[in-house]
Amino acid sequence: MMKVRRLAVSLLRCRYYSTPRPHPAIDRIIRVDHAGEYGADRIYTGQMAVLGTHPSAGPVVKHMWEQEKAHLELFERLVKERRVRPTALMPLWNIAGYALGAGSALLGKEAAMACTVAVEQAIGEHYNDQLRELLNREEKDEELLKSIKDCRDDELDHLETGLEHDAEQAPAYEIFSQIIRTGCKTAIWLSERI
Amino acid sequence: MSALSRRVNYLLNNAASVINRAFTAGANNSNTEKMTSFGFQQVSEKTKATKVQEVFSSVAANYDLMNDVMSLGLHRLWKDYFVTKLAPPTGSKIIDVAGGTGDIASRIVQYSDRRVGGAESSDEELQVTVVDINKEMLTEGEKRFKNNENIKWVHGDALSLPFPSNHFDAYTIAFGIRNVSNFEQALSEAYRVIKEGGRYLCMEFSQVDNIALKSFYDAYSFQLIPVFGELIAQDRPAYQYLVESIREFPDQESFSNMIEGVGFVNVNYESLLGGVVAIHSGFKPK
Amino acid sequence: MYMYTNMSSFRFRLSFIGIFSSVNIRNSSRVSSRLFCSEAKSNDGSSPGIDRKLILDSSLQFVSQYGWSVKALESGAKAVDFPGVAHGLFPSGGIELIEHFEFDCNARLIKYLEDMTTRDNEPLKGGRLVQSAVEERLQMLIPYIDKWPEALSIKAYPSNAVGSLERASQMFDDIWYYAGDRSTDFNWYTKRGILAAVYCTTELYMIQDKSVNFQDTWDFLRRRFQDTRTFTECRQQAEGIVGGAYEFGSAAITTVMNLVGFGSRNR
Repeated sequence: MMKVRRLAVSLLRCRYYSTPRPHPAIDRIIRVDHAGEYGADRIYTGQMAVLGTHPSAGPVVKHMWEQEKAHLELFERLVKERRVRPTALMPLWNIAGYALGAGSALLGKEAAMACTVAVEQAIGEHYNDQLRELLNREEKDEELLKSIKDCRDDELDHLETGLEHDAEQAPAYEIFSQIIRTGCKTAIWLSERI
Repeated sequence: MSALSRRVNYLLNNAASVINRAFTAGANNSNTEKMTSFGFQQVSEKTKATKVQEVFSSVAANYDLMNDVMSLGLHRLWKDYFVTKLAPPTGSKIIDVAGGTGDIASRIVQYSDRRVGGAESSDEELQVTVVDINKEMLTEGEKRFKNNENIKWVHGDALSLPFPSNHFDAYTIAFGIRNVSNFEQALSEAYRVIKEGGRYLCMEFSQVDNIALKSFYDAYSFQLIPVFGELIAQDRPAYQYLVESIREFPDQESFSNMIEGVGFVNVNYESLLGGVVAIHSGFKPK
Repeated sequence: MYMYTNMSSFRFRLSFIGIFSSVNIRNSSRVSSRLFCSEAKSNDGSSPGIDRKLILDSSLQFVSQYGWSVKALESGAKAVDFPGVAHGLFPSGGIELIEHFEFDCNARLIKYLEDMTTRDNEPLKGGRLVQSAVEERLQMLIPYIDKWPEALSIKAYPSNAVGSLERASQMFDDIWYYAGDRSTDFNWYTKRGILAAVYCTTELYMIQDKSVNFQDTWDFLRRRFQDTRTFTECRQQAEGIVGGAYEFGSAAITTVMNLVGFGSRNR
């Protein structure tokens, strides 16, 4: 088997390319975050389609949705500015996100909140991992660090909100939550690569 | 095969040399000669040169057989690969050091003959100069390839080559460097005689990384090879030396560092069969 | 005594050894690039070692004679006063020469894209820039067009395929980036995929084109771009129809539900 050991690479600028491309790690981070926020946006769209008119849950979901939209705009801007490749699975996250949001909302308000809690838990861990990775790098990317920190804080707020609104009362909460968290981790893994 | 059982085997099989070492250990430590390894023994460089001479003089006649036994016939494949890696163009001047019986030299000439060269002029033919410190090995080689005009046979020492500087396009040494008393000096000499932009190519037994393979390889080396030496050539100590010298040779990275230390650039190595053999390559910068 | 009697059995033995070999390249100057990201090493002789670029540049002049082969590298080395054995600096042989050539062409293409987008007199953008960039890039193959089929077959070997795909992907990404594409959805892939299809088919057409100044190739290219425009228009029309049908269907269902009494009045 050919094992080629690569030397430390010179990033970005090289005599062959005058247009900066992102470092592979940055490219991966922004791609998966963009995919994640897009998926979250679609989940809330699905939830709003069912719960939009609900007296107590409707406004809560709407507020969280607005925040996710702001996150999505932020990462879209980063994708454009940094010349990041978006994930090829966008159409899949479009459908899957909407289905998850609408499906959980059809099971009831508590199930919708449980879905929110599970997703935000997975995303929160994921953002923390990314922050650790970024802080370990030699060159600190301040803009990206701040963006991810802000998003992480919002996601943890959503998690608290979901718990306050009886997420744990949902039927089969533990299993439901576990399945969604696993699904999120798989989606994250796939979006980093594809 | 653990290091302990390996050591026990060695002790049982070579009681005489062990006793000798016990008596001379003090003497060796107190004198100021540079020490080097002769198998698992530590000897002075001068002593190593003499001892190596003795080993190869005694095995010269059966050198091919010895190689076949030690490598189960694979040495032929390795040498073929070595020459393909070099891919010498016509008109090159190549020096093959410690290549007494002409294994590599003859392969180089045959490779060159096979290359597509119809369109180009054959004014300059390939020239291979075989250098060996051991007269018996050279004689054996000359006997085999006496009709080959492209090969010259020179009796000389790798540590002090009888050639001018910047003379050869490429320097090859296959399974010879571990027998040299001073690696750095041999490498410096190689650096001296190679032209600028020329290539240094060295094939040698090296350290095996793969654990499973290593245990099999150790067992085969220390248990079977000396026995075959006893049976086939009635010369167990020579084969014991050969196996031990392989273990004492530096690993791939260390040897690469040595090559770079002398001045070669673009140094890399290729391990064959999980590290049993390694081919190191370097170039002399302009 | 020496067992190989012909090259075919020789090569069989080599492939057997190859299974068990592993290479450690300590000072590799081969450019290794990740898909769409940059991870390239400088090859301009600033790193210690022999200037590989010098030999590669010199070898290109021998391609028409010897093809993309070790022989060309040998001759290139000799032409700049290196011994022929210096071809050993390129253990993968011909593919390294092809890689070098492609990187060079892509760098020149980027220069062209920058010039075209920043010039004062009618800077190009969008589809026009893409078309002109493809033509410019294909013109760079003209000096080596006789040996380009050989290069394509070497690039298609499994060991070389990934590298060639990465280089090509980066080139298409560069073209679209300068043309102004900032997609963040699947369009990113669609655009590059279509460009790849157009480029590759035109390249294949070009290698067998015998017309004067490759005029047939440029006509072919122009027709391919016309096809993509037609395709895009068709797609937009189809989306219009489908979108309209969806809205109509949704309005019909809502009306029925309202009539029957299940519709929500709290809008």
